Amino acid sequence: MNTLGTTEPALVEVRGVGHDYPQAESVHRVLDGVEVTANAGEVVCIVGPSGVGKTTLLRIIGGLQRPTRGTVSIGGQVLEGPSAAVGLVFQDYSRSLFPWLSVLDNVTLPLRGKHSRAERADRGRTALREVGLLDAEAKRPWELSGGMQQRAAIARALAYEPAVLLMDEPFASVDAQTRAGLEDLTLRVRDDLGQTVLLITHDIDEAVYLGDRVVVLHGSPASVIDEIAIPLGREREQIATRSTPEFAELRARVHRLIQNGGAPMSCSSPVGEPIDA
Amino acid sequence: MNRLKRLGLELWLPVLALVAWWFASANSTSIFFPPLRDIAAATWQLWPFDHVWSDLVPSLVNLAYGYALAVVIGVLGGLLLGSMPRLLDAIEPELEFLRAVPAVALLPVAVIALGLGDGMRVSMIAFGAVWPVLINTVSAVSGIDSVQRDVQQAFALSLPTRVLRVRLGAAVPQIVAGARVSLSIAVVLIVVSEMQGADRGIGFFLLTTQRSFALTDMWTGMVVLGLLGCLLNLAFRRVERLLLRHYPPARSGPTPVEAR
Repeated sequence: MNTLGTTEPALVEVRGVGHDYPQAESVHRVLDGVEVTANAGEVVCIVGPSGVGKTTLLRIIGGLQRPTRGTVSIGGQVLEGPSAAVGLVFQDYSRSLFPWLSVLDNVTLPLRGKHSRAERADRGRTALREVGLLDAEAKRPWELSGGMQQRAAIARALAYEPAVLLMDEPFASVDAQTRAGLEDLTLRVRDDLGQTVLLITHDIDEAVYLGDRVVVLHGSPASVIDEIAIPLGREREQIATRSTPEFAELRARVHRLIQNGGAPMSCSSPVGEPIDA
Repeated sequence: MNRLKRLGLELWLPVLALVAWWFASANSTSIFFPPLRDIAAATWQLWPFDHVWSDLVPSLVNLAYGYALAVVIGVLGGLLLGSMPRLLDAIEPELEFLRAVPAVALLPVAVIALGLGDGMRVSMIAFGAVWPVLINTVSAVSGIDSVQRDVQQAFALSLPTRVLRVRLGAAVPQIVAGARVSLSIAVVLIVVSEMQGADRGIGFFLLTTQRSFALTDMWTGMVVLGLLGCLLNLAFRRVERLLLRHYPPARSGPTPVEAR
């Protein structure tokens, strides 16, 4: 299997991806003509209302599902299945971690059969140190808090040493404090290890706070209606960044796009509430 | 103190029943229901350790072999069938048929096909006790959480890792629940299988004492079987606690319910 090192530039290219789910007499078109790219070291957030097909897109990029149309390539290679260059972090940590394995065994599980025992332990501990969970390596996931479990899931993806970190609503199941900590952890990991992060979320604030670019999915079938560069710099800070006027403006722009589907504004829409919870 | 309370809670009924039996049977002259005092005395006289060596140990050896076979075949077969839904679909009717046949009903056939030796007895126990383990393993493996399936696929887990770390790991609570049922089936079958053509064993002991109207002695056999059942259950609970110590408390119940 081809393992891309973390230093190698990885380019994610989603080209003309469409997906249909067969129904009784017709097909349900979920995605059509989706175009997304992510450059090495970039954080790209894909936002859209719930039910728009974000999870389908994530599964396609993760190689868990074949698209009906179009291709996904990573590092120039067209995906045929799950790629060793992609590390997945699932939304539901309580289901994605194996409760009967210790935290370290969970983190090193993907390395079994591919690396020696010593190297597995080494990579596992390095990843756990990166997420600040080295003390908990012998614990079982269910003995940890939700935030710690999700950090363990991130460590598992990191130990895999992928070029791309693919995250599906990774912080949707934790409280606000923990969420802020995990967001900053994600940015720090990107800085430390140079990973490309592709993050799917329905939370506009989170998308703007984390992203170098925000890709907005909309419609049925869904496609990318706009892509917004987030020129807030690489350094972000929960309170300072979120209180800048630029942040508020970008946030409002994304919000309007999601609400109006990119159609010309008919009236000013209220800003400030998330459109779905 | 707490331990003592629990012990009291568990033991009050058996103690009460024994006391009631003791006094109710104290003046019994019926040969069918001898006084418990006589049964206790006879048990003490017969079992440690003459009949323990001549009858109990041979039974336990057969039980151990048969039960071990049942668990091993059940777990391996369950992992295989649970991982291959097509194969499961193809042979499910036959499995259901075999499972529906009471193992006891196979005794005459087993005697003819396998003779009167211990091999026949071990086979009968294994055949009867394999089903709960097999069926629980199949259901646990084929019912693995969809996110856990995605994890296996996304991280391209190797086949041995999938089978041993994920599927077997996910199935352990249900395997243990099945193994508990299998154990009681195995005890029944060891007694039954020794009633045909055996020259030792606890089933043989029960049958010969009954046929020679040594009814007090026959009762001692039942006392020993009862004690054996209790001890096996205690031992099983120990093993269960050991095997399930790494599982979240909610899942370590006897019948884990799938979340979906």
